[in-house]
Amino acid sequence: MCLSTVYVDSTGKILEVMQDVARIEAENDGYNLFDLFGARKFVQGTIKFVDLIDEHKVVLEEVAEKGIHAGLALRP
Amino acid sequence: LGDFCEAVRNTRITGANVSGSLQMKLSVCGKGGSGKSIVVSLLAHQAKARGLDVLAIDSDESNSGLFRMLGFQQQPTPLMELVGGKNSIKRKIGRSDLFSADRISIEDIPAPFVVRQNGLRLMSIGKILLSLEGCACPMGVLCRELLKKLEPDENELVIVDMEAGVEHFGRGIDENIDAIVLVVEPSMESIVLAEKIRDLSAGVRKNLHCVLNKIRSQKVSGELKKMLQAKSIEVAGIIPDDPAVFEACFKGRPIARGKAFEAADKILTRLFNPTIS
Repeated sequence: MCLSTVYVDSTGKILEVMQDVARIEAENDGYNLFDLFGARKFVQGTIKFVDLIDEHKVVLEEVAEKGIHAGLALRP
Repeated sequence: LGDFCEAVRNTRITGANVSGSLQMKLSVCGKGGSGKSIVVSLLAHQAKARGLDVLAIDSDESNSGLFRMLGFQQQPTPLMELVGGKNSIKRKIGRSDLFSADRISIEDIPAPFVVRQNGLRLMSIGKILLSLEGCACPMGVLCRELLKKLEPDENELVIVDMEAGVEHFGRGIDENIDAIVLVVEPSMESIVLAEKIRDLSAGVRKNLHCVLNKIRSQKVSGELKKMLQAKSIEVAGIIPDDPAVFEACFKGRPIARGKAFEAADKILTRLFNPTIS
């Protein structure tokens, strides 16, 4: 499945953020995630890895040196 | 006695129901060319003849002939358009109030996406139409989410015409249906695939009902049954090689009533009453 699930790795704890993500756009210190059904979420962090074959997952992690912590910040 | 009657009224079984009323989501799968759409058409028409409200879902991204076989003049608008179609997804993603609900009733689905004719309803997930347009993954997600949320009302039967092969199992589409109908034709490829589908169905804990199609003689059905039984696959019904089916496929029109419909009625009895052998 090409559509992926996005997770945040926050100090070793993996949290699911969004399923069936169809588009990811970088914005400032994070990413806007869009799913197939019109939902949108903004997540702070940087991409740790992307697996598009087995698990279809995108894992973000916090950016400690900038003081930015991975997490959700919902925007309309 | 009043409490007892109330309890009986409130006993609604999802799937097969021995009392005569049911709410069921069936998928029909098998090898390409084994006759999935034929079986969907036969079961849909026969279920309608039994007084059930039937919704057929065309989940085949390639072939588009189901609507003709069911007797529809036109295809429904693909559900992909409800979320804006692929182009919209690529731009900024579409919108869908329908999928924001926890539960979807068939009546909730807007008219262009469900066509009604002769007592049957039909919807289509989407088709690959252009070269280089990309994969069918969004359609798989859409079908999976629709089936997850779609709750048939009493006496409503949903029949899903799956894409050929087994990718739908990998996509998780079959997790959200009540029973799987496996169509097997007399060919080694079909038998080998049946074995794989037996395991995949068990993996999602679904009852598998095997239907033999294109059967020319009792000798063929006997041999085929034996080969499948050796793989622990029990046969729930046999659809004979009916000239009416050939004619319908050749001319692109509904199947005329004949031997195949009689067989379909027996299969429905087995599906709705799995204890009958």
